[in-house]
Amino acid sequence: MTTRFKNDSLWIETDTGNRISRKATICAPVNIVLSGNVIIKADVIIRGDLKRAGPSPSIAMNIGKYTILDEACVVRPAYKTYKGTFSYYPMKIGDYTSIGAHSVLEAAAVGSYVDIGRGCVVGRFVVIKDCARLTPGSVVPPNTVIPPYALFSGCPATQIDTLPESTLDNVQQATTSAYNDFKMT
Amino acid sequence: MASVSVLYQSKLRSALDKGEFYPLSHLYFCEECDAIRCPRTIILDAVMHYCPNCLFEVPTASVKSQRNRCMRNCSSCPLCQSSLSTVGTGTSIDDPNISLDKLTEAESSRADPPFLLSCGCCGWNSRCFGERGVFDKPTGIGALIARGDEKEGRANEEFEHVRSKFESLLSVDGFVDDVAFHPLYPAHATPDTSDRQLESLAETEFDKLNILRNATDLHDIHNSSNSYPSSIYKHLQTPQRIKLVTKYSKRCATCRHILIKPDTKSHTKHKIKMTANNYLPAINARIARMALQPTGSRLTSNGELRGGRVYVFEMHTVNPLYDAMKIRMKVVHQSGCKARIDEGEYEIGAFNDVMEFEEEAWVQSQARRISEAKSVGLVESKGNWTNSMFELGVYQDAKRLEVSFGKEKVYADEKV
Repeated sequence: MTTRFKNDSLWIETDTGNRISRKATICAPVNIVLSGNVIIKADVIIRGDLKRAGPSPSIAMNIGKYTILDEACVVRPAYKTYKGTFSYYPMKIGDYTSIGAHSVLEAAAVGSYVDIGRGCVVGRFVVIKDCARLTPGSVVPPNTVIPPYALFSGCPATQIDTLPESTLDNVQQATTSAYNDFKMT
Repeated sequence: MASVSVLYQSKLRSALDKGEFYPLSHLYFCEECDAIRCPRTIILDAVMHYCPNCLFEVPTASVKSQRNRCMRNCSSCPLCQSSLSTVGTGTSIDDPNISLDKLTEAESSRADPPFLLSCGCCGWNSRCFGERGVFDKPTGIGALIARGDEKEGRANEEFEHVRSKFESLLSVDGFVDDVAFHPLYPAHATPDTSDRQLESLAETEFDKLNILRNATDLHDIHNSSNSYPSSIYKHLQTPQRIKLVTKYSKRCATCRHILIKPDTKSHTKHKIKMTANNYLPAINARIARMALQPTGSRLTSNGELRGGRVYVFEMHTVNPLYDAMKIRMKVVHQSGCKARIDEGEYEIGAFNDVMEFEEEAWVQSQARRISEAKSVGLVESKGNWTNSMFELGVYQDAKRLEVSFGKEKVYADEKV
């Protein structure tokens, strides 16, 4: 894939509209799939090198379109020892999802239209369904399932409210306009 | 003070109740009545129940017999209420590198019997029950917990109380407007005498739990008169099955037309979705940039408005409809300030999603920059949005400003 440089020193924009900061640490990009229109800001760490054990090529990270990874967040695949073998498990992040600054994400799956606030810690094998929201500073314990349209908060994070049905449209609009208004400076 | 929130109000049938203001995202729009509906002017019907942990649907018939809890494997930790995971701690694979302590953690499961319930948050595991906390099979643990609950019989008693209370409420659902009590929104409830019985049961439990939750040291718990009440003590000891979540269809309380109908196959989609943001103009208000403010109207150092000054605000209105809409605003109510607004009618162009993406030029051709210098009235109109200005004169001792605008054609009030 050829890359087109808009601002040579700071940002890379790919043909599919992914905007990636040069200050981000992206390990083993071969194992990472970006669906396009993804923003990866400065100091983000994505651990694509932590893939499933074995010689066959496998994808460690799948990130949907219009997903925004805010400054200094850490995204790494979850791991466990199952029947005596240690392995990493691939992570899938849906479309129109935003991950707040300084958050640490080790989830198994994050749905679409999800909003993860600043400074959240999401434990191993957490499943976040579509249209869910995490307030800033929440800590989600491992193996938790966050149902759709749920607002989670606290440490350990528990459901405090249900989001309205318009969440899907609002989040889609907000992330799309955040991408369009984003300036690579 | 300089932060502005725009809230909308639905017109209530009852003249007694002035109604509340909600953000646009929380409102619905009834096409039949041509009116906004808020969470208090809709009727809820349970459509399906599902477990928020395993996301499996529970048939309505078995919800009551299961006491609205998941019958599969989902349970919550007795200490921290986060969900428990089933862990196999079998020793059929001998690996001296993995200590048995580690095996109670979910991420190091060997998937062999015996099985334990283990909390990934606080480290609690069901081994503290001895034989009772160790299972031969990883499935059907919910049923085992349920058997334990039944012996207590307390759950039954509570359920009967709650049911008798809500049955009396639901029988008057034809007057949802006037009932100051909504099953889903207990915050609006005004307690009456008949609630006492229910409250005495629920509230004491809640108070006691709050004392435990808010306690920072042992001293706090000792000071509260009823430290560690016995029923709470039992609650904290055994894992609880996870409560089911109900999906509702929502209907207009006036004409009974369906506003929200969830899709039973998908957790995200809705078959019918009449949310207000698809019908009403989205309004954003913020203080206009400093160059447009009258002389002397500066903000304080921490960004607040000063009393006795006049400020110019910018109002950004977006039309979500495929037809152009006409808007006329007028001040209905104000407190702490005096608003000056252009009461003339103006038009907002239709929303055109194809044009929006493909023809930037089309949007540009529609752009009309009316006036830059005006401090009241329409300033800019482009595509499906407009910018207009209004002025607020802040009174000397105002703490909080409230302005309501009545809007014709769109049935919205606005509070700034």
